[in-house]
Amino acid sequence: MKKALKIAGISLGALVGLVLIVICVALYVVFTPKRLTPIVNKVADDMLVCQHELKSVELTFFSTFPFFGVAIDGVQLYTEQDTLLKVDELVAFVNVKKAIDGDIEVQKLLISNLDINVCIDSLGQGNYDILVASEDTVSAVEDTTSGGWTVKSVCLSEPMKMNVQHLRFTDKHDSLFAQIEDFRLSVELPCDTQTHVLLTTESIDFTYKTTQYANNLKLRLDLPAHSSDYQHFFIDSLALQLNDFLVSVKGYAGIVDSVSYDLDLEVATNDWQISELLALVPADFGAIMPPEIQLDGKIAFSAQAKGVYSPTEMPLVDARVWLKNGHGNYDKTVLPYDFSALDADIFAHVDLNKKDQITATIHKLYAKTGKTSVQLSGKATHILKDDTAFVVANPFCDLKLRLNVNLPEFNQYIATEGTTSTMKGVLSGNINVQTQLNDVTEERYNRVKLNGDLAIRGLDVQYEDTIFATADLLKLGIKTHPTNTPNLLVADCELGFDKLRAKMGKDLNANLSFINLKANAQVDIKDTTAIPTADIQFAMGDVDVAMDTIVAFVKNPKGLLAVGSTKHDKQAQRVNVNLSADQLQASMGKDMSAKTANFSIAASARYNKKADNLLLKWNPRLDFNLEQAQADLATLPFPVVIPQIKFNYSNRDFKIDTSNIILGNSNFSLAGEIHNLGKWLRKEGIVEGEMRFTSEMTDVDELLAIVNSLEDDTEPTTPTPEQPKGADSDEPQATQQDSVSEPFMVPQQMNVSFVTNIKRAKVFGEDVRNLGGKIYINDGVMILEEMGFICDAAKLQLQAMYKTPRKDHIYAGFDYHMVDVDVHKLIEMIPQVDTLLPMLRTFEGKIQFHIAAETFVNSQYQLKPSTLRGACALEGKDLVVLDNETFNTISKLLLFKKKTENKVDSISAQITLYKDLVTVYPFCVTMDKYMVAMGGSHYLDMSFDYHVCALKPVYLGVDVKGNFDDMSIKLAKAKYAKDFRPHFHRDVDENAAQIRQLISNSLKKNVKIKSDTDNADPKND
Amino acid sequence: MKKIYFLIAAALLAVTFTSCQKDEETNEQDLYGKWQNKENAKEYRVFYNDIVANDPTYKWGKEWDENDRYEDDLTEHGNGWFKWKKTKNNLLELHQMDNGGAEIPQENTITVLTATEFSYKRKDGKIYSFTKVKE
Repeated sequence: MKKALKIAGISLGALVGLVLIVICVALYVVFTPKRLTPIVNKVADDMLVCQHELKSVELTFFSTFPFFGVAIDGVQLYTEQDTLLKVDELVAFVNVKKAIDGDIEVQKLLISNLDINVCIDSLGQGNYDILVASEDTVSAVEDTTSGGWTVKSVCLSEPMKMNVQHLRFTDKHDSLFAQIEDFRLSVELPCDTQTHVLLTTESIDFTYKTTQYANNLKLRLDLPAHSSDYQHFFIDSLALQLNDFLVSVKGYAGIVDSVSYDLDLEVATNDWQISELLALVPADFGAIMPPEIQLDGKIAFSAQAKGVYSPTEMPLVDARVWLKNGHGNYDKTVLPYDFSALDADIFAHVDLNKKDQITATIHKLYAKTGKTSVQLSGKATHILKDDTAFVVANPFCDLKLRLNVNLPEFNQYIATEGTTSTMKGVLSGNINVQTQLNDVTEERYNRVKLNGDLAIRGLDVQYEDTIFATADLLKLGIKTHPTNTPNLLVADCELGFDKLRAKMGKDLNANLSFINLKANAQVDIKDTTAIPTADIQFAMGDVDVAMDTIVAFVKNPKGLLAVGSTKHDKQAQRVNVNLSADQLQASMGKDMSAKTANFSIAASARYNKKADNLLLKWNPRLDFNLEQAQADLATLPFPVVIPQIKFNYSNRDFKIDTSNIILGNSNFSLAGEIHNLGKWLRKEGIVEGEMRFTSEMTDVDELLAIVNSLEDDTEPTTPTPEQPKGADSDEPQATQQDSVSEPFMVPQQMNVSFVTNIKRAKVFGEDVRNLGGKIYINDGVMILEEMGFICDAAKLQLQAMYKTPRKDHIYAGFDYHMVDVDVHKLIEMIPQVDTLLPMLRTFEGKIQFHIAAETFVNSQYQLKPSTLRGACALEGKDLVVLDNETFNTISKLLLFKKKTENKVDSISAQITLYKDLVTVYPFCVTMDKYMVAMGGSHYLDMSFDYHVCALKPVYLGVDVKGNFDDMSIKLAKAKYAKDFRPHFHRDVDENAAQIRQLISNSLKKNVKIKSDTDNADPKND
Repeated sequence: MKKIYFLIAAALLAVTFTSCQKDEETNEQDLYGKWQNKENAKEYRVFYNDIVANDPTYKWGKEWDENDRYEDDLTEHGNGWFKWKKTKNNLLELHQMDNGGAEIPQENTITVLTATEFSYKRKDGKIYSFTKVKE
């Protein structure tokens, strides 16, 4: 380029020199064109080495005084190869009078149809070296300039006009080609302050080596300006246009001193087509845009610079860039969308004096694809460091993103192979981000402030043919709270659905009128093992859920769910739940339905990974309240009504405040406290507690009927006779065991009691009152202690025990006493008595009945015969024969006295059970003149060996042996005479009586209830 | 009538022989220790010389059948334990219950008792035989 300028300078210098020569010649030798032209040609012949032509030269002076003018036509310089310079007309008028004083006033300056063609051949030889080197000429010129004349000012009284047809430079040596065609220059430089330069060119071409830097460029420069002192310039409207790219400048520029300039300039462009702008860039420079970005549209730029420019001060610059009607795309393998309507409006405030105050504002950055649009706006401050160098600081960005997303256009992101996954709906909303740029680039997201509100309207999602969900409106809000804790992301989230309908597979359907979730979440984004912390408040409208035959309805469930880690262990999870609802209804086909008016649950749990038990692992705390509930079961003839159940649970304390249940005629209430469950589970202590079971009315008959009906329903699952229990081979036994449920094992290390207080009960048709006692669970033993009650038929007392030292070694025993019991009620309540004492059926009256029995069983509750123990005592006085008809029959048959009353003196029988042997100790019945005694043995295989003997009026005995299918009855000696008629025998069997008494006494020693007819202490009976 | 005479004669004969039979009193010392049932080797009985605290006429004993349970399963003085006293050849056992509901008497008659052999007859006539087990 320097070389080209040098050449142009030399050419122009030569031209000016030629003009001066012509003027001198014209002034001092010839003044007419006819004379002057040959003279000039002669001079040119002497000065120029190249061929030349000059049609005419005319000088004017006196006619145009004080202006001196020269007009040259048809100048041509050429060589044998080509034309170097050609000018059709060259006219100039200069005010000589002013020029003498150094003020050059040009009245007219015209260069018409200039054509310059400069060439340098491959050897570096240029065609512009046309002047004859002459020291005189040079010295003459030098002399002229050294005469003390200096130019003070230059002005044009008329516009200078210059028309260049071609300006061509060819350098074959350096492979450079430049060409300007139709170059027009108009300069208005009047002698006042106005200046106007207009420069146009139709074509500019420039090629260097193989790179074409300019190809048919059009250039236009329009510079109107004025200056009063050539120190301060006012640019009215500078327009610089390259092809269609226009840059306009207006404003003021002034010189403050030799190094300082005062500026107040505005620069603006028209709309530049990006593709055309990029086309100006030579291909060899490579793509300005990254290859993955395709972008077109129009851009525009405006800027204002105001202030002093000096080595120590920079003007303030406000710049603005627009992108209009843009379109393009980004690597389609990543973002397979075509963006249209790209629109941007970006503003920057640049204060290089205070670099930390440089700001950039995105007024609008908008893009659209299909029906989806994204708009970004925001501001960045503190872009540069306040430093002498241009160092990027840590900009603070405040960005707002406005989304309007048509979800179907993003189905490919949820698509799965082989299944259908689609989503419909429109997501819209705003996201606001405030952050330091470094916090994003260095992943310090904990310092990023994000605030977003999104909504999806008309949501319709299908995922993998299994999950379907629709919602009229889904709202999502998120707000982060910047923290200084590294990697800790703290955010408030809000999620809401309106009319959510969900379906999972073919079985699960759910409808929710609305859901609102508010959550505060804290997440460690780097530590994947750390458990996120979240407090979630939720409220729902009506919830309908149907799964298979299960249908549930919940009205207004609401609550709080809090999850997170414990203070001491980030990996240990904690959960808190508060749940309440106004109404709950559920049904399972026609078999079961339940409803409740309202319920609430408050639960919390802390996870302890070291624990091995579920309760210890989670340490649950639970507050439960259920009111006005009712369950209807198809198997029950009446509903289960639950007025209220209220309890709270922790591994330390389990407290039931209230639990009321109404079942048919029965009502129950359970309350109490259990302590130390956690210590017990950790094997560090024992469970202690007391529960109180109270009931105003318990209808045992009704409950038993329910149990029986349930057993009938489950009958098919019990072993059939073809598959008897206890088969010899292992295999059928194992199969059987598989189908048998595990036995109930009484917990170890537990000391819990249940205090029972039933005011009224109905048992076997009898009304029972004041049924009370305690059930203890104590270290693997469950004891029903002294359960006493009163009924119309008897006073009763029951004590029972169940203990489970091993799963296949389970103990069950009871101690049961009935005082003042009606004989028939006894048989009705305990039918087995009738089997053992068949004659009892024929009597009527009140007796005492005491029985105790126990055994061990295996895991299938099968008896272990060697452990069977039991005893039974029955005592009665003043009993009568069942009915008079029977009595009359007997009395006639046995010739009773006429005065004999239908009355038996007494009966006292003792029965023991030892292993397989049931021993019926001899007992005696007396009536009138008859006395009968009986006793014997009975075995578990139902064989027996009884002896019945008459002791009055004759001695006569009968042995009854065998079983009910094969019974033998033989006369025998009356064995029991010495027992019951000792005065007829010297050898009284006192031992037998003592044993019978021993049995009775040992049975009665635990009796707490007293007989109405026997005031004596039963223990002493 | 012949049959009646025959029955009366047989009865008298039986009474005579019964009357002449002499009960040989056995030694209680031989009873102490652990016995194993000859027919059911899993059944054991132990007779202790320990006097029952509140009833010195009785001593303690225990029994178990390993078809149903082991010795360690027995609760002290509960089910499986019994009080016993020997009067001549009568052996009265009062079997205990875990729930303390009652004491179940069993009146047995010792038929054989030596240092190594022990048999008794239950009241229903069944006989059980044991051999001494060295502990």
